[in-house]
Amino acid sequence: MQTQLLPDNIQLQVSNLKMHFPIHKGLLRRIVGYVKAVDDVNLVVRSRETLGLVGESGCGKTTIGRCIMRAYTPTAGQILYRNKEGKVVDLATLPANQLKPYRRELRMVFQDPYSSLNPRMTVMDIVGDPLIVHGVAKGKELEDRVAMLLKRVGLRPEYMRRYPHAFSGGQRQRIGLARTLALEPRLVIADEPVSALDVSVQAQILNLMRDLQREMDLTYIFISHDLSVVEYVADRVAVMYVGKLVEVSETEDLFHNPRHPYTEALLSAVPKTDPRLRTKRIVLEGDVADPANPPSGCYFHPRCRYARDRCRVESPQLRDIGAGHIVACHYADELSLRGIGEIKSGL
Amino acid sequence: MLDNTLLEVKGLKTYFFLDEGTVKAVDGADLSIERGGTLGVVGESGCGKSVTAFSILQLVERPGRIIAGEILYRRPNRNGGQMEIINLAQLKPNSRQMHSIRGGEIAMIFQEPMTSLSPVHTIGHQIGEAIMLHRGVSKQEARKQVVEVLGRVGFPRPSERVDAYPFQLSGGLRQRAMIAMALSCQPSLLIADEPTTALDVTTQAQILELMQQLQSEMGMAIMLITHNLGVVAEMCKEVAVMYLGLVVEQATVDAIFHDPLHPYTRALLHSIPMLGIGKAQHLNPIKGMVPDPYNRPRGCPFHPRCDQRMRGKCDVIEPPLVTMPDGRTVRCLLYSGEQ
Repeated sequence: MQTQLLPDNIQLQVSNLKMHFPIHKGLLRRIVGYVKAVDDVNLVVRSRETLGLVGESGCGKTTIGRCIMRAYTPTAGQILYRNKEGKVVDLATLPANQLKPYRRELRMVFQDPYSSLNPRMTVMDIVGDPLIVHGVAKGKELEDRVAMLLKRVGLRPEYMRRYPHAFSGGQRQRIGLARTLALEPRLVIADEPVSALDVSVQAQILNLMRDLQREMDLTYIFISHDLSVVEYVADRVAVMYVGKLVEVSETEDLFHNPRHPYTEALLSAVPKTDPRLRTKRIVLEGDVADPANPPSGCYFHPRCRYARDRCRVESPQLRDIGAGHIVACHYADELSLRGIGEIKSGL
Repeated sequence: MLDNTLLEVKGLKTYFFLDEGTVKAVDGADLSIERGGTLGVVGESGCGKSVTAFSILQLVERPGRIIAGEILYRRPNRNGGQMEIINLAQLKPNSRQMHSIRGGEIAMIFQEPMTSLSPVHTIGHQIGEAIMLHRGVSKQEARKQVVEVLGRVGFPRPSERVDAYPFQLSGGLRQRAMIAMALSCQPSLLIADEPTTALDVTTQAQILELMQQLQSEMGMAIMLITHNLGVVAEMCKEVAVMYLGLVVEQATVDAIFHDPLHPYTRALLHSIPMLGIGKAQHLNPIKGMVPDPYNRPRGCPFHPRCDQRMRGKCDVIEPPLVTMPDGRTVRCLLYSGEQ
């Protein structure tokens, strides 16, 4: 195991991560191209923070999450992770037989609480399964652990013998959370954890996740396309477009002073929950670029209002423009973009 | 019925008779839509928003049935230009009159544009079918009109795309095709059931913009069913809030967001994250969950989750519909002089 340097407050550092999926064609299944789902992404996650990962569908948010979990083996790049003992390992190149300890430390919460729980297993089996697999507990102790976990996520332990169909969407997401937390993870990747839930239940789950983070010193990577939810939970936000990061900053900074035209358009597209604030939306023309056949230069230039000749040929690099605000746009210093502004709650 | 009202739903009850019991999906809903106006219908899943829409179009499938209530629709009389008021709830789903209203005068677009379009027919064929049926024009003429309406909803190169199959289109374009189909016969009411829920925010902005633009051009009324309060705040003039089959409050959009009367409306607004406030805001989730549809609570259906419930009243008395001095309506005992 090689030791690498990682600043103390950094939990995870992703550098030059690439995940290219081959496209096969014909009888011989020749490779005719690649879908560049994640293309050269650099990202750091600090200990005990919540990093929001946003972007449109197909931009590669979920693929990054799966690479970090090593559900996929990345095509190239490094994923440096600081483990419980403080040692730094590269998850991207770790052989599969050495991954098991990290399956305990890195856990995932899934989007759809209906398809992510096995309908033939009781809650006890679902939540207890990771504990058995990792040999943490069995028998009476297992039952006690599961009961404690259920209580922690706000479910009654008496429900342990029931099957998932007996629970509502919000309760199922709580069961999913209990399973995630069973092994006392350190980094939790939550992939759209509240998108399938009703608004009133969303708030319950978001508040629960917040409380659990505080109690258990968790680090979250929170993947979502809902910007108002991300603003509520995230400390920092990373914006993706067609497999690349376009902007990373502190949440408040990013929402109020976006420096990338794509971020500006995304923020403008979110419907504001106040009829007195109806403003002219920036409507992006056309569709998201195809990651198998991206445009030249800056991937965003065909839809960008500010695109110039340089954007068509030269691909912008991510650069720090001060105070930890990272952006990939040639004209980030010149453009004055519109954030969401001060919105006073009308309630 | 006021002169400028296009559609008024009064005491609508649509029940589903299942082996396990009766699901009262819509249980006394009241709402009204102005001519050319936009009414938002909001509520959590299972509150009866979609069933109300299906009831208006007489599309409720068995074992569901409209068992009570009126759906008054004001339609221009074909002969004189005089207005006539008809009760859609009493029409037979298969009657000729219902056929001409459904799709021709009241059109609907659905949430999932992939499953609501036929995968084995071109979009031109599907849109043309509606035009031929309601306008009685020839195939060639219908095709010409399809190209025109596709251009109107912002299809690039409509004369080529008319022969595209749904799987060849992106989600945004599919929803545009659905809108083109709904608008091909110039309806006076468009029912849009979660039209942007399956779309990304940027595509959602495109579709909402398109709907607003078409509304101002064609003057139709829109009934927008959604659970996204942001979409409602941006699009609607009036809002009806539904809970467990009842419209608990209907008012102007400004009143709903800035002076909500019903405790459920207030609780709903407090439970959503607002853009621009971030971590500083405190979300107050509504406690508990939507009750089981088989056994609705007695009295006011919201009382078990309500902060302001009055013991011995809310759990017994079914709150009547109260019309406030400014014309808005609310169903809560706090406003009916019961306190």
